[in-house]
Amino acid sequence: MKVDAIVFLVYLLGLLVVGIYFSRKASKSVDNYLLGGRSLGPAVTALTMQSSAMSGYMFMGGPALAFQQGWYALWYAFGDAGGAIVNLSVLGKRMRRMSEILGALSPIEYLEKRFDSPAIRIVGSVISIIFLFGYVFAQFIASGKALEQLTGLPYSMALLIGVGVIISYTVTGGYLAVVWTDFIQGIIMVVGVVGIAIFGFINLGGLSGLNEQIAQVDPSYLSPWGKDLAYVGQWGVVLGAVLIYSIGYMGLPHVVVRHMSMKSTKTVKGAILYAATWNQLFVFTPYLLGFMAIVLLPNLGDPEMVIPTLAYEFFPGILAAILLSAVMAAIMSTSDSILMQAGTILSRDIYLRFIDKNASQNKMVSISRLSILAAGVVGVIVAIYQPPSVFGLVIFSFGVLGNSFMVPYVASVYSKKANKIGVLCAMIAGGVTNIIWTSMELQDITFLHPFLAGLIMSILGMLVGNPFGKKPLWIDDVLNDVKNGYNVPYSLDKNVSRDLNPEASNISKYIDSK
Amino acid sequence: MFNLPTDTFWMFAPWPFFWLGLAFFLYIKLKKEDEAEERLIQNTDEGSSPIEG
Repeated sequence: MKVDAIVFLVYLLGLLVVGIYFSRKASKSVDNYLLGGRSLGPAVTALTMQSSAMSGYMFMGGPALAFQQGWYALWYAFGDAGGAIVNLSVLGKRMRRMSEILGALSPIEYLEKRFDSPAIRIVGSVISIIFLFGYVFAQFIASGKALEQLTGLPYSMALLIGVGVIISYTVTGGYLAVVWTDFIQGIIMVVGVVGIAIFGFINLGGLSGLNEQIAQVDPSYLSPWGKDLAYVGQWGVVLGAVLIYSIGYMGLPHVVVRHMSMKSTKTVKGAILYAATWNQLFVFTPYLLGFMAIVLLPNLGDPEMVIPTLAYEFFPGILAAILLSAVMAAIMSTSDSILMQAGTILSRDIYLRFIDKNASQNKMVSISRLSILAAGVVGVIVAIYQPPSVFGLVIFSFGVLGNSFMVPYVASVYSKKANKIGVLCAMIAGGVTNIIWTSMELQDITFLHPFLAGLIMSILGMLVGNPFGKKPLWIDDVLNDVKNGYNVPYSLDKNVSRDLNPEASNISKYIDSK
Repeated sequence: MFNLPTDTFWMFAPWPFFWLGLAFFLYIKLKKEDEAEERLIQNTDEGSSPIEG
């Protein structure tokens, strides 16, 4: 067996050990299995949030765009580099407090309780499941492609091995296994790409040397407007490219759940610093590797294979193994989080909410495990038979999720006027606009990025829908607590609001009916 | 700079510095908020609580 395959095998076994290590703790309660007992510190919160957010797209779609469009591709990276800072500072503290007050364990349950509407939970679950699946299919396809290159096995066999490991440790160890493997994988991702980029720059004469050689191939690669200046003056497209990854994360259920699992609101400030530093080290580098491929691999057939091909042609042996482990780390850290979230939605937001309201803790942990397994199996089957481009599928699913949920999540912690009608309108208008814009390729006619179009429609949906609904009566007091922090000793206050919330809801409904 | 066209350089170079600067600013702001909150909780703990009457 080749040395790179051995390195990778050891890495996969390590991930399985983490899953087994956390399995006993995960089985203790649903809170432990789904949110890790809300015990995560700043470093783990930051790295799990970022490695979950940075998917196989960063190693396949991102470098492919850089390879095809040159420096224009970095517009996506510039937004991405600040995504965690925006996400943590806008939602972090307030969503942590609000989710505990409401006693919500899943981001969709959170929306239902915040806006007091089962319809939000149904619509939210349907949108989440469909597009989280779209997102995870793309990760599985990327996993199959990378492992095919690494091991020489056929695509379907490689896919089964990669996804088999992800499902095993996620099902066994639950949320804690996911976040701790994400933490490890976040470190491997940075070390892998930065290490290879340093070797690349040494060979190409630094960034200046690289740009000089790119200009000899085609000077328009160095333009901020794309190859052959394809996007010149299209600020609606550029703004959408920056916004999708800078604010879009606030709409991804598997990312916003990280706010809910933090140890306390004090975790946010440290997490911002860790995430900002990690981002500046990591986010730009895969794109820079894409630029290197313009010079080093001018005849590359599949642009999404830029990094695996660079690894094997120019950095063989142990370096290739580290880089491909980093690729797999990005894919796995996103896939496990999405699977975990899909399983949570299926078990808690659908099974517990609408099928068996009295399910015991043990039964719920088992149902969650079965849901994750089922989500993984369906994902594998689709990924084997329908392998579209990773880049297109990720941007599409990401965009629809972001456009559906970002405005409702932000409104949930800031707006006293937002209500269930406004949220439903925002979710549906944002998501549907993105789907129409992408499928009808309206960007080419309007010069407006699908994410920007969806964002505008989602905000309008919220503004138009709000006058037709009523906010929960208790929300003003809760929002004040969420804004100002606890004004009674934490030891006394903890869990009291959570216990009282169902009663408060009933009283509110009673008053409404009078 | 770095053999890039001037517009590319000035549109792209400031971003990492902007994000890092914003992160430090937010860290300090949130630290102050946390400390103020901590003081509020301590004051409430030291005063009369509903349990002690």
